[in-house]
Amino acid sequence: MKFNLLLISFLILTASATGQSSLKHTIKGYLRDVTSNENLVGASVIVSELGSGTVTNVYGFYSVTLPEGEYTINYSYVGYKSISVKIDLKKDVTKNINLELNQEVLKEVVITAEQNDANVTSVEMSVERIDIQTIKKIPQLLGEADVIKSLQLRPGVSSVGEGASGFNVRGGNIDQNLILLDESPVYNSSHLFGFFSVFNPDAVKEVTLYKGGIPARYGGRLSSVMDVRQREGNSRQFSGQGGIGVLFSRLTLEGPIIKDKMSFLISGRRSYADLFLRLTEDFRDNQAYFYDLNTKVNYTINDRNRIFLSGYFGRDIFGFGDDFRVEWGNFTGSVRWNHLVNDKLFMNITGVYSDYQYNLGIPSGSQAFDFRAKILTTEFKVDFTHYLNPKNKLEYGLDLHFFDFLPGEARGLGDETIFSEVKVPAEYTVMPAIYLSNEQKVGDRITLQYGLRYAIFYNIGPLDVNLYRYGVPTQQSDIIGVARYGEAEINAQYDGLEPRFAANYLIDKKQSVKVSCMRTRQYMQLVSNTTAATPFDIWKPAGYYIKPATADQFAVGYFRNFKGNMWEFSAETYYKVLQNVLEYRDGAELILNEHLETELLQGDGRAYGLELMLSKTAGRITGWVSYTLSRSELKVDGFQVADYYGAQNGVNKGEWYPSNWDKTHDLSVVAQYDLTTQWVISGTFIYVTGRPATYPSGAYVWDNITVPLYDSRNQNRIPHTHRLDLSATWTPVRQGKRWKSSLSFGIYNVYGRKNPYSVFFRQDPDNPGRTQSMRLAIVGIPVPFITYNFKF
Amino acid sequence: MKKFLYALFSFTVLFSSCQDEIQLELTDPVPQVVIDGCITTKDTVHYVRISSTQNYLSSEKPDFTNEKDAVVNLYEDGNLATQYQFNDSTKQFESTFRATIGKTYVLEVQLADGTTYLSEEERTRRVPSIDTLWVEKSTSGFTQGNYDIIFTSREPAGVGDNYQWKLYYNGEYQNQPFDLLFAEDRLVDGNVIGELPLASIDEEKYDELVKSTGKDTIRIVLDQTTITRNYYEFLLIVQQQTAFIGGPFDSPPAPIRGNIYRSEDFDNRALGFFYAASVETAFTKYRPE
Repeated sequence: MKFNLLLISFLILTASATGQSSLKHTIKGYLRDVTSNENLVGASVIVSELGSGTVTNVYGFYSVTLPEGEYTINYSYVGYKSISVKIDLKKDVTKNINLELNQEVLKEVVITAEQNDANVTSVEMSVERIDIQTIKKIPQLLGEADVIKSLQLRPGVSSVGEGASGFNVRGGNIDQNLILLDESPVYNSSHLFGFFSVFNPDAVKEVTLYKGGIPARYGGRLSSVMDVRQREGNSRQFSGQGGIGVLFSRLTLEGPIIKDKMSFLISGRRSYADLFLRLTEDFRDNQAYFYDLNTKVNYTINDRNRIFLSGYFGRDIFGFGDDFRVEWGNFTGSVRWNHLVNDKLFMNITGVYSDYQYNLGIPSGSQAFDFRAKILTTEFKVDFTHYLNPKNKLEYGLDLHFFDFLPGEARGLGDETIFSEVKVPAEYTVMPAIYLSNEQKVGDRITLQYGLRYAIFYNIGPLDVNLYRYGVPTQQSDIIGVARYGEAEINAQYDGLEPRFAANYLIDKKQSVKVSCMRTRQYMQLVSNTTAATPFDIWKPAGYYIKPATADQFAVGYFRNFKGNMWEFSAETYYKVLQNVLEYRDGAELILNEHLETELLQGDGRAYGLELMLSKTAGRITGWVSYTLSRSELKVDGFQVADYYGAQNGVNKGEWYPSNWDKTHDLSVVAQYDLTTQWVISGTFIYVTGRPATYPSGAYVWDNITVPLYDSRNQNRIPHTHRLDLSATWTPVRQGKRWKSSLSFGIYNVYGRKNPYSVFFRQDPDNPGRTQSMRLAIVGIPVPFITYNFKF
Repeated sequence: MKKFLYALFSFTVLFSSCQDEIQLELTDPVPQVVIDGCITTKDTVHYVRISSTQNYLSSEKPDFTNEKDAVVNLYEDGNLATQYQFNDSTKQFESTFRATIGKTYVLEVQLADGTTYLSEEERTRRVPSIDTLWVEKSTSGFTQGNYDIIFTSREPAGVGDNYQWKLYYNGEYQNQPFDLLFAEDRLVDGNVIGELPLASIDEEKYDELVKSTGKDTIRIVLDQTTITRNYYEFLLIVQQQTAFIGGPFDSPPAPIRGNIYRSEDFDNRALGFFYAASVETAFTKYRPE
């Protein structure tokens, strides 16, 4: 009933928005980079006479329908020279526009031209975009440009600590972020446990992080969507780029297969510390490396059809002689077909395959074993962008996901092994979804975006579901039988609407107020009982006992630009309520657990905060200052089983407690200074409140071991973190005709602060009768780096 | 697997991460009763120790004599089997009573103030014998150069056995957090346990042993004990909270629930654990060449 009412009101709104007609024509086309012919995503197309227009979609396409007449269309994109085109509109026209990179950025000229004002005028809020050139200049550990670490310098984005995997958005856990690489889900975004992200900056074109106001086309995660798009490859000429760094070496090759029609891109990275380790006696038999490979081919069949093939393959491999071997990585692939149905209707059909797997084992001896686990995703979807008129842009589509969860199987290897075979049953799920949304301009000052998403989630057989004495999964000894579900038989089904709404009220050309609210649902969650997520954590789908999680977020923001949009300021505040987030029991055993549900509890969350951001987008000095004041809390009750002896009291006795990633103050200052044409200097400073920790409220001695006594979770805080990183890039004036190079060097953690990752308590290993409080710093010293980058 | 993750992580941040001691002030706890005791099938003195909580960073040892007037009874299948007596020199309640396989044990502690604590039932189970036990110098891997303690046994068929191993080097019980050795049989059910390295003595530890006992030959005693599932889970969380701590892949601090409760209130718990176990013992001697 609720669904029907919402649908009807949606249709009425859309109908009223489309119910206008007169003699109209459409201007459509693609915006591309003049040198490489790459599509420009999110570029502005403004009809000067109306003061409004549209932006290009993720494939660089735009379409504007106007009454007959003369118009000036202004095409602009960050970092590119704007172009104005006069059009006498008497029939439908195609205007493919090529924009040229603004080389003035590199010269000693202060830019005075008007900058893009999309941050004020667009209905989007709570969105972070950092262009890849900026990301490459931010100093990072060992000089490796990092997409995720750069996003953590933006308001509302953080992590539990240095070197931790993933990122937290507005008080959400790391599994609440949908990470897409050319539309394929990426389940583990880190190399080396979290020190580096899996995205090769040379292969990435565009990164967009939605912290709120998530468009209806995205679903499946509570807190954010990180949409990473790979570059298509230069279809004009063969070119390459790469770098030699302390940790990685990179090489990207790209070029036309058929000039201006078909291009390829292949980009690889590999760490090579292990090659040096092999030279040493002690580490000769060890392996420790990681690599990734990005590939893409696109083919423009004609003006109406285009095909993209994308692939990513990454692995982390560590081996310690015959003692131990561990390996994990993502494989993703997608096929997309862009089709222009008519001048106003853009269609994209996508097929996606994603395989995240990890295995570990001991190759030989009495403890030889092999453990493997994986999660497979197959997805088909159809998306439409319907440019009804300059005031309405409709998006709708449907998708169908299949997720196969194989949580683990282990078997002994060889004749000597003591191990048998153990397999935790796989879970199979299917999720069809539909969505519909409209972006509507109401008058000159108001833009609305309203949409609905509806998904159904089925957990299907074959599966044996454990049945428990009290109907809830209390403990293993309460299992009284199993319910057997056959192939494709549904054992659990969940569905729900996800309304999305955003509005922008333009106070004047320089300032606006925006609001947004959204509901999101998540049908699978990461089960982790460690401080930072590990590559071996288990994704658990909603099912017989586990309910899907939901989040409702409300945000209000004020946006203001100064000095011809050279300075941008924003202030956003949000409030988020979460339900059914997954927590593990104290002392939970997760790996190879055939009754994992007994180790899990579901609880509520709430997060709220204020995010301030001031950025300077042009001039010799660019950068930003971001500040977040926030709170993130959880409340996890135990089972309510009246006659269950030894009632489970939940986490923290069922009281609210701060989450592991709750950080009150989070300040980042990022600056880049174009000193001369040869020298660019960059710096980053961060200050973050220490994360919550649990200090012992006492101790007792048991079997001569001093055991800490913990009462309430996360009621203390570790000392705060601050750090300064600096780098300089030297680009020689004399460069070859094609070969261009630069040298970057710098220091991470300039003043060598021992920023605590954790504070913990232990018996002194050298004097077990004594107890001590310890601080662990992951990077406790200044770490210098040098990287040579080249292009040809 | 935790140990491997630990080794891996240590490897990756070898050159830059560091630990150091910091000064913190912690609050004193509200005093709580701690009961730590056992009964096994082994021919030895069994103990029950009663103490109280204290500040974690306190340099004092807890007082084990405060409750010396307590009455400590052991019930076997519901019948009073023995009464542990306080020994002033060892500061613990003691009994030489031996448990029998297949029986159920409950500990009752009556404190001087009249409160009574009871343990949950602990049932002893079958225990496989240790077939061989020996020491050999490790030539590769994580323990290269150390003296590995290796044993063989046979795990009886039928899932549900949980084990703890206790090691004594020259009579010295190895009971630091990292020394806790325990396992469940789910992955090895019914299998021959051939040549399983259980622990490893490094050069430093060997020198310490020689110094403290004055002997260059190490006499190693191994107790293989079958324990209850409850005790296995208790050991798991104790080790999690005392050995694997502080690192990114360690579990956050958590309360540890014991199996001793106030007689009139099941949810009102004393700290600590009372366990009953079946024991098989083997010993060997080793003198490095």
